[in-house]
Amino acid sequence: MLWERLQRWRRRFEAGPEFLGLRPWRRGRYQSPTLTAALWLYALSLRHLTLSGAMVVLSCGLMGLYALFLLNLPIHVLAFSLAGMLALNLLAGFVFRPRTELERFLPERLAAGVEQVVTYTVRQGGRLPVWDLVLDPVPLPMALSLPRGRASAKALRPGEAVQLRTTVRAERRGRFLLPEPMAGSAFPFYLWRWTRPGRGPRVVTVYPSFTPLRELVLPGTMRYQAGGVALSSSVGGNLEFLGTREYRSGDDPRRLHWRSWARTTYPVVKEFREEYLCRTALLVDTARPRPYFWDAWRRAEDPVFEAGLSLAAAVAECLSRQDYIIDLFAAGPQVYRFQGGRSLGFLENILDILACLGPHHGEPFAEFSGDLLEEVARISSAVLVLVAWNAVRRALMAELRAAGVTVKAVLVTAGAEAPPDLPAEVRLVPAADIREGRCNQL
Amino acid sequence: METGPPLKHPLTLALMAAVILAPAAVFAVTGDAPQTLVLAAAGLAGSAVRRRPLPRSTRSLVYAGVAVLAAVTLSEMVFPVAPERFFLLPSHIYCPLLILLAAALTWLDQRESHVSGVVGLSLLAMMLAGNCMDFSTPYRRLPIRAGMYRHLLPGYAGAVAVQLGAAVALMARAAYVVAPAARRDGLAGLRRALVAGLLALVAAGTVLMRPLARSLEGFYQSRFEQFLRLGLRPRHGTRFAREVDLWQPAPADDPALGRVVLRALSREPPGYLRARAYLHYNNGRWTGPGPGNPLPFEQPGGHLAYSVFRRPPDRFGPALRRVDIYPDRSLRSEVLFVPGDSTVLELVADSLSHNDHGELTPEEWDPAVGYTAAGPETPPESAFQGPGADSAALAECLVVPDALREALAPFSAEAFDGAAPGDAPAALAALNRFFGRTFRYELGTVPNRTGDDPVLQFLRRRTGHCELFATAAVLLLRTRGIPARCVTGLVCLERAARGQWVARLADAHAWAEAYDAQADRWRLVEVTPAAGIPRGEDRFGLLAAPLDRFAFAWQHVLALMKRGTVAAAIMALAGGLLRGVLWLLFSPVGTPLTVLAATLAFRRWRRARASRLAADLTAPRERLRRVYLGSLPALRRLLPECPPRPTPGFLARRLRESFPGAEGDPLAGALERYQTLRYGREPPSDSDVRSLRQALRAGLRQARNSPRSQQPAGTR
Repeated sequence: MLWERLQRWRRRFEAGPEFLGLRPWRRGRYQSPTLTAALWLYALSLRHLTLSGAMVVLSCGLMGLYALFLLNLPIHVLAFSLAGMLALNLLAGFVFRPRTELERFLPERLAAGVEQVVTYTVRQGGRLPVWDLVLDPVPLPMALSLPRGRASAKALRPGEAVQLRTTVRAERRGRFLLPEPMAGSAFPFYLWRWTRPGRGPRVVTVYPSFTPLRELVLPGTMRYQAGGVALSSSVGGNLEFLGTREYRSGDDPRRLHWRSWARTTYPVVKEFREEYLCRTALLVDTARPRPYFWDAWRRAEDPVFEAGLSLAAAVAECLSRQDYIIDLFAAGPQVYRFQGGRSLGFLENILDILACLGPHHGEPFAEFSGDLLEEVARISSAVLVLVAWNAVRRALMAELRAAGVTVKAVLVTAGAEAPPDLPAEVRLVPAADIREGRCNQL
Repeated sequence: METGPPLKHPLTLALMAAVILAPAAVFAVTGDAPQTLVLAAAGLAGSAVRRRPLPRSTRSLVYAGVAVLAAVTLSEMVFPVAPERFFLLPSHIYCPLLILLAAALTWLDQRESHVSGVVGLSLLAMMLAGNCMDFSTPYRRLPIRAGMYRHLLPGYAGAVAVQLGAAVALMARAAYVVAPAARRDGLAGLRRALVAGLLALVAAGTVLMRPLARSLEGFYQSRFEQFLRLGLRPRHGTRFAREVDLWQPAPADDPALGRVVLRALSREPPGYLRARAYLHYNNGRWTGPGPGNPLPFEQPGGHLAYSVFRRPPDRFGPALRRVDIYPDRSLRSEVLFVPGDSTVLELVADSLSHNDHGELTPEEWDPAVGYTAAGPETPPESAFQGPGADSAALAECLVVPDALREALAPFSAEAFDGAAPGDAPAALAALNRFFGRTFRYELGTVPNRTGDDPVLQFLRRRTGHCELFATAAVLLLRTRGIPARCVTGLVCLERAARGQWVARLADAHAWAEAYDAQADRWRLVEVTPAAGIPRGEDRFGLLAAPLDRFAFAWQHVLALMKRGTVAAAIMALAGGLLRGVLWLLFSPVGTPLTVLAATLAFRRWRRARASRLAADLTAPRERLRRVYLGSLPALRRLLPECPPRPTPGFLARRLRESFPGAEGDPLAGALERYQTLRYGREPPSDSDVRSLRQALRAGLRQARNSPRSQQPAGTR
C-alpha cells in the first residue's frame, strides 16, 4: 500500500507540474530529479506566492538570517513581523481558502491581436465565505494577456454563485497550453495564496492575424481530379450522372434505379462520373535563417515569416469563399499536407496548421517528397507564398509550369527592394504592408 | 477620447507613500540623513501631481534609474552619511537607493508588479535603515542627543507597524487595479475585523518570538561562522578567557548572557563547575598556571570510543556520582568544566592534562561528544583535593603583590577580627561575615583607571561583581597566611527537565578556594552576596523549553552513539521519545497541539472514509452491507470452520450442508437474498434492508435453536 503510494508520488513528481502546463526537461530517457524538483518549486511558488509574497519571502529570509545573528539590531522586529504575517497568512488563509466549483469558458480558437471574452462560473462551497477571490491567478503563457485584468470577486458567501468575465488577447499565433483553471485567494495578508482547481479547456489555438483579400486573381482551369468530390468534401457536393447498367454483386443498393428495374424486371443501378474541379495548391514557404542567440532565447517574432503566414491565411480565407478545393503544403518543422474545400469547416483546419507552423532553418522544399510534388503538378493552379528567393524556388516554379499548373507566386520581403534575379511574375510584397493591412488584393 | 493606462488612484498612491516614507524616516534618524526623507517626499509629491502614469517602457525605466542614481550620488556627495553608523552592510549607500527607486516606481502605473516592487524595495530599505549600531557619532543635521539608543527599538517597531499596515492595504488593492471587483458590503465588517485581529496577533507574535530567537542566536552565529568563517560578533562574549581583568567592567544587561552555554545530565544539580584557577595577581589581572601533566588513561575496549582518565584517587570514596556534560559549541574554552571533586573523566580525546590547581586541559577532543565526570557519591564540603602540605603549589597561593600588602593590611584586620591565626575555618567564617555585612553586589561598576588597584577601589567602594569579591577574598586570605586562589567557572543549577541542567553565559561566576591545612583540602569560599550568585531560576520560554529539550535529547543520543555506547543511545532515544509523547499529551503547549492535530486527522479520515464509501457503494447498499457484517460473527459461531473471508454464497451452501432442511434453509435463503440485493442492478430499498435484517435474525435464531447446533462442528 505504502509502496504503491510512493510509486504514485514518484510518477506524479516525474510528470512535472501539470497544473501549470510545464513538462520536465528530458534528454533521451534521462530526467534530472534536481531540475524536476526545481521546476516543481518554481511552479508551486507561482501557484501559492503572490508577487508581493515572493518578495517578502526573499527579503524575509535575508533579513531573518541577518537579524538572528544580531538581535541587538532592531531588524528582527521587521523580520519577525514578516515571518508572523506569512505564517498567519498560511493558517488563516487555509481556514478561509476557496472551496469553489469553477468552470472556465474560453474559445478554443483565437485570432492574434483580438480580444475575446473569457467567462467563469464560480460557486463557493463549504460553510465559510471567501474573500479576494482571483481567478486564474497563475501567469498565462507569455503570448497571452488579460488586458482587463484577472476576473475577481471581493467576497463570496457560502453557496453563492457568480458569473465573472474578462478578456484575453493573444499577442502572437501558436498553440498554447494554458494553466489549469484555478481560483485563488490570498486573504488576509496577500502573501500566500490558497488555490482550488476548476474545469475548462486548456488548449488554445491562436490564428495568425490577417486582412481578408478583396480580390485574388487566379487564372486556373478545371481538371479531372481522381477521387474528386468524394475526397474533397461530402457537404454540398454531387456527382455527374453518366447512365445505368445492370446490377452487379457488391453495388451500393442505394444506387438502384427503381424505375429501370420496374421496366426491365432485373435490378439496374445508376452510374456516376466524378466532376471536373477547381483545385488549388497553397505552398507556404517557411525558410528563414537561424536567429541570433539572443533573439532565439527571447523568442522574438520574425516579421517576414509572420507576414508570410498572415498572407497565406488571407489566401486560404479568400479561396474558402469560392468553390475551390485547397491543398495546403507546408514544411516547418514537420511537413504538413492538408486538403479541403467546398465546405465551411476546412478553413479552421488550415488556420490550425498555420498557427502551429514554425520557421524552417534549412530548405523546406527539400522536405517534400517526389510523390508530393507530382501531386502538386496534377493540380489546376498553385499559390506560392515565398519568404525567400533562390534557385530551388525558381526550379519549383518552372517544374509546376511545365506540368501545366498555373502558378501565382508572392515573395514577402523585409523591405521594398526585390532580389536582383526575381522574375516579373513573382509579386513582391513588403512584410509591413501585410502586417498593417495594406495588402488586400493579389 | 483619451486612451492609455488608467490614472493613478490617489488612495493607492497614499499607501505607497506610507510604505516608502516609513523607512525613509527611520533612515533619516539612524543615518542622520534627513535629505533622503526630503528627496523621497519630493519624488512622491511629483508622482502625485502627475496623475497620468509614465508609459512602462525601457526608456522610462532607464531614465528613472539614471535619475535615482544621480540623486543618490549627489546626495551622498553633498550630505555624506557616516558609514560607521551601520553594521557590516553599507546601508548609507543602499538604503537611499532603494527608497528612491521605490519612489520612482510610483510614477508608473499601479499594476500588481509595480506595487509589489514598491513593497519589496521598501521592506529591504527598512531592513537596511535598521542596521544601526553606533549612536556615539554626533548628529550634525538633526537635533538628536547622544544616548537615544533606548528609543530606537520602539521607534523602529512603530515605523514597521505603519509600513506593514500600509503594505497589507496596498497589496489588497493590487489585485483590483485594472478592473475593480464588485463590492460586497455585507462581509466587509467581518473582513476588517479578521484582518485587524490577525495583525494584532502578528504584533503579539513578534514580541513573543524575541526570547525564542535569543536562544537560537548562538546556534545561528556558530553555523554562520562555520560556513563563512566570519566573526560577526566580538568573540569575548563566548570565549572563556585565560585571564581575569578587573579593569574591565562586567556587562550589566547584555541579552546574549541568557544564551545556554552548557548542558548537564545528572540526578542532582551539578552546581559549581570549575574551569580555570588563577594564582598570580598583578595590577588588576589574574593569570593562571600552565596546563600541567597528562593524566594516565585507559581504553575501555570493544566498540567504545572514549578514554577514561583518572586523577589521583580520592579518600572520600569511589567515583559514583556521574555528571554528563555537554558544552555548547558557541562556548570556546580550552579547559573542561567539571565539579571540583571529580576523579574519573570519560571523554573522546588524545590526552588530558591536569595541573596542581585542578585545571583539566584536553587535547584533540570532540566537544560535541561531551564528557562524563565522576566523583564521590556524597560531595564533601570541599572543592578540590589538596596537593599535600609540602607542595610547591601552595607557596604560589600565598603570594601577595608588594604594592598591595600594606594597603590590604587594614582591610585584613577588619575582615579577620576575632579569628585566631592559623584557624582556617574561623578565618573563612570571619571573611564571610565581613563581606556579608557591608558589601553590595553590582554589575557594571567601572574602576577608575587613574586610581589605585581595582581591588583596593572595590574594598573602599564596597560594591562590585563576583570577580572583585573573589579577588579581594583571595588576597585577604593570603595576607592572613592562608593559601588561596581565584577560580572561575559556571554555576549550573537551572533545571531544564528531570535530570537535565543548563548553565547560561550569565551563570559564569568567580569564587575563591582556600586551603584547609587540617583537612588537607581546598575549600570553596563564596563571599559574593546572594544577589550575585546564579540561583538557577527557570528562564526558558513556553516554546523554547520543549525545543531545547528536543535538541539536547538529540545531541545526547548522537553523543552516546559516537562514544560507542549504542545500548545507552537506544535507551536514551526511547526515553526521549517517551518524554516527547508525554509532553504532547500532558503539557500546556503540547496538549492543545495534539488535540488540534488529532481533530484534523479525524476529520480527514472521516472525509476520506465518506468519499470512499460514496465511491464504492450507494447508501442503501452500505446499510445492507452493515446488516450482513453485523450477522457475520453469529454465522461464524454457527460455522466455525469457514474461511476467514467467506462469501454469502459459500455461507449459504455450508448452512444447507450443516443444517439441512428447515433448520438452515431460512438463513441460507436470507444470505442468497442478500447477495441478490447487494449485487443486483437496482439499489435495495429501505424495506428490503429491514426485511433482510429480520430474515437474518429469524434464520439465525432458528439455526441456533436447532439440535444440530448443539453438536460439535466436526460431527454435523
